[in-house]
Amino acid sequence: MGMTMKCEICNEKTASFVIYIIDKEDKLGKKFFLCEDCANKIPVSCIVLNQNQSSPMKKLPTYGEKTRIYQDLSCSYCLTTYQDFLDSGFLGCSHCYETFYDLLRDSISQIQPELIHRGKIPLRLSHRKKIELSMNRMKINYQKCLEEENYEKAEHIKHLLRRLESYLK
Amino acid sequence: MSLFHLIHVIPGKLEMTGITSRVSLARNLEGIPFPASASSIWIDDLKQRLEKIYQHYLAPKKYRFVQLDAISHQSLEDFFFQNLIPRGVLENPSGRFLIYSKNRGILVNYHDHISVFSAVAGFDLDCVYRDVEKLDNLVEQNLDYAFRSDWGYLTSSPERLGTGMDVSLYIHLPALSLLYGEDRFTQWLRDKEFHVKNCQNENGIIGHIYHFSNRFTLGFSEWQILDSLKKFGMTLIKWEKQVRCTLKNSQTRRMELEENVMMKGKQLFRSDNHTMKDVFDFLSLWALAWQCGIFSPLQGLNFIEVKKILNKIWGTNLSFKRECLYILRFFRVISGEDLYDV
Repeated sequence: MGMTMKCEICNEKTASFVIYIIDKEDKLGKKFFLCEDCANKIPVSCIVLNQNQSSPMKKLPTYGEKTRIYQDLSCSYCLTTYQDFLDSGFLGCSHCYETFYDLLRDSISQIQPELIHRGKIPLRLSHRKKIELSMNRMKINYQKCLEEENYEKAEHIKHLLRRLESYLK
Repeated sequence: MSLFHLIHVIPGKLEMTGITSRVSLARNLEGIPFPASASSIWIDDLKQRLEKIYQHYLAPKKYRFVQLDAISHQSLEDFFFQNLIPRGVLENPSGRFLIYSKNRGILVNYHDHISVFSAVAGFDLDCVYRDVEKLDNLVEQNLDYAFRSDWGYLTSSPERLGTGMDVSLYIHLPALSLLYGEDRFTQWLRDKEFHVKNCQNENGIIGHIYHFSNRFTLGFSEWQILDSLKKFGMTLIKWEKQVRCTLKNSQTRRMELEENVMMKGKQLFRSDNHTMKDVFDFLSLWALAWQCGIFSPLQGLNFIEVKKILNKIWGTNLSFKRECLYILRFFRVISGEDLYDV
């Protein structure tokens, strides 16, 4: 039986990402094993900041600890710290929403009725959504054509699907 | 100039005049730090991108591009009184720009990269929003906004996250304020799902002008936000009209209001210490008395007498004079064209 590595943050899911920390002299430092979810949630700057603590990653998921750790955390794009945000009430850039995601989610849920956007979406995304919807419909039709052995029509649909796919790239 | 020429509202005609509707959408561009942490290089980049849009699409439609820190304070005050810029920009115009035509436009580099807005005198939120949406779509076709599918448009303050929308209604409600008492009425309004502030966007009502704006921006669509404020505004206007009607038809109430205005006027004329609230509250009640037909050009506290009181209060303070005239214009006691001829 093969041995699987568990995620060092949630300690539940299987680790599928390895993050290597490289120091100033370009030498390989510590490495961390993370699952896909945690790798997407936890910013790299947070991992770097806390790499020298004993099992630092396991501390992140608990909320009280999280606040303390996030106080020193800064956005890698605009360098705004969480403390800056608390002092001014303003975030530095759109990447801050990724960096402080967990804390912002908690505070936004206190001031807004729901955590899901129901309003207007940018035109470029609405076009994308329309293309995705029509692609889904085409895929169903494609399967149907294959089942009915209508290969000529299936080929035509496949051609259209390829064209739509190119619009999404 | 005749006295009647100065009066915008016919005395005794009970119409709701002191209302302004305003809608703005906060937007940020993808890849540029928000204004609070953007360096001058980023601001130049932002300016250039918007200048291109202005030259291609807006200049032909007779929009104007103004660098706000390069114009006089008086011109800035004019923009402020026309609801084109907020007080924060009036006080600190550095690095900010305005693209505008009449009552609509785009404010650049305030809290967010851009704020697309439109404001009209009167109660017509739908029309104002359509104006704003049109302008927003035009910008969006040429620039990528910072957006997340779950949280919507990303704003510098998480309080505006989602639609980025600010729907504001400025309503003059003197009759309801008199009936229920200003504090009690304000408290009741605060229990609703709206922000309640004064005309200067601060706490503490002055001149019985209430500024309502939406509290929620995430979880509701733009039209849902508009509808809730529209319903609320319509209810308040209906109540205000009913109370004004009662006031107009009751001899006792009319006398009370007349005495109240006369007394406040005398106090202001005699006193050397008065706050902005004292002056605006007096003007508000005087306007109400006009609208209820208690005062007219030949009866009660007429315009010449009020002008005497105001001239004494203003002294050499021109800025305060402009604020008072702006309030009178909002009440429609004098028309916009006559504003600076008084």
